[in-house]
Amino acid sequence: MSAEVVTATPDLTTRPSTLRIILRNPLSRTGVVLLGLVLIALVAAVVIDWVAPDAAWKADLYQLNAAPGTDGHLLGTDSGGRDVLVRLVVATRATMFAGVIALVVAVLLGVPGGLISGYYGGKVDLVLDWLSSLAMSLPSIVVLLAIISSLGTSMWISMTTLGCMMAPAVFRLLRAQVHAVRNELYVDAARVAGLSDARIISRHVLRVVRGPLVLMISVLSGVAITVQTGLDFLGLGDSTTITWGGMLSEGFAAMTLNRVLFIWPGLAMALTVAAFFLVASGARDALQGIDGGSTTAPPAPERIRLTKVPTSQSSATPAEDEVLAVRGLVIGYPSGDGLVEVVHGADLTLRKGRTLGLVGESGSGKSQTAFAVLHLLPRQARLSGGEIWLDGTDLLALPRRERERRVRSAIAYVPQEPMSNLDPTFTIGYQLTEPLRARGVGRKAARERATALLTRTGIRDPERVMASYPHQISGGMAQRVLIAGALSTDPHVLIADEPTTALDVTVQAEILDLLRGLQAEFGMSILLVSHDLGVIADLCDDVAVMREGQVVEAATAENFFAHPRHEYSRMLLAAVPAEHEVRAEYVADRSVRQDAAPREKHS
Amino acid sequence: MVRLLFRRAVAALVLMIAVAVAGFVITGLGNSDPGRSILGPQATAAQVEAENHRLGLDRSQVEQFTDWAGGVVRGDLGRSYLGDRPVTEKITNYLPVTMSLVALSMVVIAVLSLVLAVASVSGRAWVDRCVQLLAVIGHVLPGYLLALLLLLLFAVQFQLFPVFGYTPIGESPAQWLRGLALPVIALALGSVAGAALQARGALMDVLEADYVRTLRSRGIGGRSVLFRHALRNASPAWLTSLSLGFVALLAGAFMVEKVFALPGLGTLSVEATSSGDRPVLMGVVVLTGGLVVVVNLLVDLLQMWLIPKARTA
Amino acid sequence: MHKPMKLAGLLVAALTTASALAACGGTSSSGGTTDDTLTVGLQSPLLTFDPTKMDCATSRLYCQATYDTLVHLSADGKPEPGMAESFEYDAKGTALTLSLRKGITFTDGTAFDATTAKAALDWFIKNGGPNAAMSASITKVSTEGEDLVITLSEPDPALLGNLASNLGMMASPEALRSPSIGTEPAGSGPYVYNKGRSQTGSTYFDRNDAYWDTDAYPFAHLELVQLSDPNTVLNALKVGQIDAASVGARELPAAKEAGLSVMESAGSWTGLVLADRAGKVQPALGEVEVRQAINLALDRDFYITELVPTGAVATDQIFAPGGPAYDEALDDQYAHDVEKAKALMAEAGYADGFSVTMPDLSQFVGGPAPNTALEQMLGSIDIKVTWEKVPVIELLGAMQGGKFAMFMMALPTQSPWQDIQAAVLPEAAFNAFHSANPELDRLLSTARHAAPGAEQDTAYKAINTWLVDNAWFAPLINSSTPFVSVEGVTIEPQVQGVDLARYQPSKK
Repeated sequence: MSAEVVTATPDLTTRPSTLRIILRNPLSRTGVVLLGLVLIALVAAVVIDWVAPDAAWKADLYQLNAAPGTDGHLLGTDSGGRDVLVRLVVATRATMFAGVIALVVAVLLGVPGGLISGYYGGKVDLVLDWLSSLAMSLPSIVVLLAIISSLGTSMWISMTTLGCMMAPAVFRLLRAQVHAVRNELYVDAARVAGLSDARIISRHVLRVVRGPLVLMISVLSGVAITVQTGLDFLGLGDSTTITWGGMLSEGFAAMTLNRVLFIWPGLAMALTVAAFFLVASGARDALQGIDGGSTTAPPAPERIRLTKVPTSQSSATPAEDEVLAVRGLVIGYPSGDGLVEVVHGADLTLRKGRTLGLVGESGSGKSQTAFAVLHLLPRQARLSGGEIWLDGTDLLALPRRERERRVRSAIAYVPQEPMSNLDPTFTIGYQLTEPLRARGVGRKAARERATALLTRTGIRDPERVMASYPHQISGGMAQRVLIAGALSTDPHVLIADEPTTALDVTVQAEILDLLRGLQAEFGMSILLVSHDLGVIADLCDDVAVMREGQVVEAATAENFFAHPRHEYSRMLLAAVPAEHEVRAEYVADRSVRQDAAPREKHS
Repeated sequence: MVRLLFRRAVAALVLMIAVAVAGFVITGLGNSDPGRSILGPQATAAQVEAENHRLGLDRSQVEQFTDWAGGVVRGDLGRSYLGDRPVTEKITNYLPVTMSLVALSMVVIAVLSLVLAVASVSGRAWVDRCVQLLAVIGHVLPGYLLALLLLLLFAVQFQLFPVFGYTPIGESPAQWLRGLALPVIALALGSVAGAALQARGALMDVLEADYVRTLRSRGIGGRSVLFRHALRNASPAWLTSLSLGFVALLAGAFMVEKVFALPGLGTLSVEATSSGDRPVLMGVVVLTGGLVVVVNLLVDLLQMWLIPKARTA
Repeated sequence: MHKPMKLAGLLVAALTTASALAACGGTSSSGGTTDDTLTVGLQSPLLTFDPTKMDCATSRLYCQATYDTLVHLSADGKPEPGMAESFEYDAKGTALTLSLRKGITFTDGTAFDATTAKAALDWFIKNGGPNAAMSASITKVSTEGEDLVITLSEPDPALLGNLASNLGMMASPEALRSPSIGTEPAGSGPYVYNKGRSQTGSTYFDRNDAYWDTDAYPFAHLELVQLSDPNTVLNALKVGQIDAASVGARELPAAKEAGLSVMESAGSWTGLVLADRAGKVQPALGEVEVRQAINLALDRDFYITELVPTGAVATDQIFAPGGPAYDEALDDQYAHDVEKAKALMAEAGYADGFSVTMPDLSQFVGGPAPNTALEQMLGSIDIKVTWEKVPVIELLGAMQGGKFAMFMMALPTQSPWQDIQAAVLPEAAFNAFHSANPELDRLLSTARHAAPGAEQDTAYKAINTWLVDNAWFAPLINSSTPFVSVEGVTIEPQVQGVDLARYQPSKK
């Protein structure tokens, strides 16, 4: 095992501060530097206004359109003979101010609106949401033009209008976020504890939404600056104050005389907007990193590199009846600078025609092991050691394509959550026949086979189910569909990952019966992943117990339940008061425990 | 399903009415004197008054609104103060340019963003960097600045494209495309990245969905999973960003039209704004608002077609 | 690996298509007219073809292509026969008899004669619209045999000029009464509007082969393109997408550098209108010494050298240099002299100067420099200027409505009487406070009733002298309007503006 590999679960308490993460990214660091420059210019503008209020107007008519560097004019002079640099700095203030007006209006309208709408819902929500869709149906440029035509080109008016037009974006964001946290447990708890709505909003809700809000504001400030200059470009800007937009349009007008004049304000504007944007995206990345969501992280381009590690057991070919054998499996995930291992050398053996129960708590690595066998680990996962023997061949020694082919033809998978495992946009029939069609079965034959399988899994009206979309059938029926789908590829190994936990108690029993019947009929070997000892006792011939990424005990079911050897196994068994009779209570009990432990199914 | 469609249509209609009211209100906030602007400074007060009377501007606001709204329902948007031509005639003259510009840009954005998103989730790191760079450029460089740079480089310097002007597609599709090429690039480039990032995010989410894993366990190839299942499920986010992008494109088109001297709605509106031509502005508000409402409705329909569950919502 | 390749291939294909597209039209845009179409870029859009509503000051070519006028103007600004073969005033100058050219038909087939001419004029008088002032002096239009007689309330020196503009534009009476006159004109001009080939922003005409003087208009087709942005105009000229256009002073050096031919047409005077001559808003301006001091404070030579390096002359007169009212000697009256100006200020009781607010016109007079120059020059005699930004829509109204005691202005120099009508008569638009003076009234009346020619010119000069003496204005410069054309097209000079007939193919 290489030295960088961290063999500990990620420590979520000592994550670095958001600012530190922002600064780690070179692009956002550039953004921070640029933002600093803008701030300096802003301060300089205020100082200039105080020390030499007419510096930006001081003109030398003998030096119109002087080239950059002439006579101490670092950026030259404009078509009025005024120093471009001084004007650029002074313009920072009014330009930023324009942005601030628009932002303040957008926030003042959008934040309270979004909070109220998301928190209380109901009629207020309906009205506010309708108003925001009205504002979003009007292109803001058209509204700005209309307002300017009737009220004039004052920056106050146009930026206030722009703020109103940006408010729906803030409103929608807040509303969605608040709506999401509103019914979260801790808000409920706070309400039960008798906190007032205002207090709940300010203490709990605002804390959740402030991150996304800050991001949105920094993006909108870029928009405000761009729109303000755009109005100037159209000749409808407010020319009573010096802004970058005003300088830009002056530069355009004088372009034939002074080719570079429009570049400076353009650059100032672009860099400022870039600063906001870069810092915002840095912050977003940082916040997402903290959330632990890998969903938007760029996919790891590197291929999994296998490093064979010596395993505790003999690496010889498994015995004839060992359909599936896992030896010393090591799985890790990249995190920060190193690699966090979640499975540290797991060993499993599944014999022909038998059912192996893989037991363990959430986070013990049992699903990871199952997915490794199925060749379905997430892209980010690193299989850094071990062997997976299928029918006497070490899959990990095969080329990717060959491994894929062998796994798909031999092993089928029955997932945990029936609903989320069906594509909501296709009919059941399509989803059942697609794998068959991909294997070259004709349309008609595939349909017949799918119908037969549905009938076999206990669905009475297969034709209707075939024509249905997933949201039109029940959870139990969906699980039958998934089992039928698993069977459709004629597997001789079935891996079922908690196939019953998401189902009602009565349906659970039916599904277990179904699995038992199918095994007998098709002679399959089953790897049943579960934390439910009741299910294991019901169905399994052998048991393997996993804990913290290692298999701590492997035995026949008989031996395991009678004489558990490992301390952890004894603990597991002790936690179950009695067996089958109390399964229902056990299930209820589970949900509490699962909340306490980090969730496994998404990782 | 039919009831849902009906409800959406009614909601769109109500929104349209609100847009019209809003258009009337915001253009009428100030005190303007159209009679004076039409007749010029030399006209006497009596002449100005007579002109205002002829235009019906001496009536109450409510009366003026009902009169105008009645016209709008019949497809009559009133008469422009400048040149005394019907507003509908003016708008139909200027609309094709903006519509060509926006429609072509939409196509470019849709195609490119999809290609980039797919390439990005297929694990091409350089595509990701490309998209990110595009996003920064699109955000930082306003369309009109980009348009100006393109104009100076490709139209003035290399003379590959016309400096100004619009050829109707009916006259010569090649010239039409040639005239619009630079404006469309300037307009679309900024929005491509946004839509691509949306599509990419949604695709990434979908690709991590449970059913994708299950599909793969059945031996469905990566390509089928991506193109048949993931794209379809990721389409709502992408479509939404496109429909939001449509509004942004309209605004961008107004600026880009100025750079390439294209006679589009932007040119018309800016002209109307600086001359206080209220009927034209109200017409533009109603038209663009209507377009946005219709585009949103279309996107809704498209989503309902792609995502069966949306049909029951 | 194969996917990026595919993507790259796609990109290459797209680029190839784009460059192929670019190439297929690339040839036509390489400098100079290669065909018999004259393409002119214009600032103003075509708003209507209704002859009473068209603005022929800014949309001259639209007017002249579509409608022939009773009177034409020669290159040196003299009235010439047009649709009227000859015209003559009576002794009092209150009746104009025009004998009309025969054989002219309008494009809708109606023949042109005294009756149709009278109908057109009567229609104009009844529906004058924005140009109503042009017919203000007309009391009656009548026919006398085949001649047309226009009767005036008092002599109107601007009448012949107006008959060469909107007032004299002849359209078929039937078309005039039709509501579609705005889009379907029926005139008898040298060109015929081609609706099919026109589109928004570009108006297309074919030559009218039935026109009585086709030789004057050698181009078979005319395309008028609206280009409001000066950069676009210059770029379009550079690549040859248009053949001719007028450009701003800022674009002139670049146009010359690009090798385009430039014709500088007499243009406009720029300077201050010292409007509040009675001291209603700013008492100081009521004193003639103050107004004279302002004139003395202006350093016109400096202004020209630094701000308007080409195409302008320094002047303190509002009339066109070289024109009938212009007097070269007057230009020395207010040579830059701050000491003398200060003395005059003190004499009037304003030794410490005063403050004045002026509208900010920087976007019309070529950027911020003129403001600064005025600020500094007026500052030299302690007049402090505050600039007020007025929305474009309200600008003219504010200036003409007497909101500002003085303001900067650039006004076109036309015929003396037209200039007087614009800025001197009590009801003139740029006589914002309706200033009047018995002495001036007498001079104006003399000019009005004088016989055209030497007698009238002398009267104009007297008015000019009075205006300079009394410092009603403080002009800075008279600058030309540069007209630029590509190789193959020549624009001939003209005293006021440039008529369509001046655009000619270059002689080989």
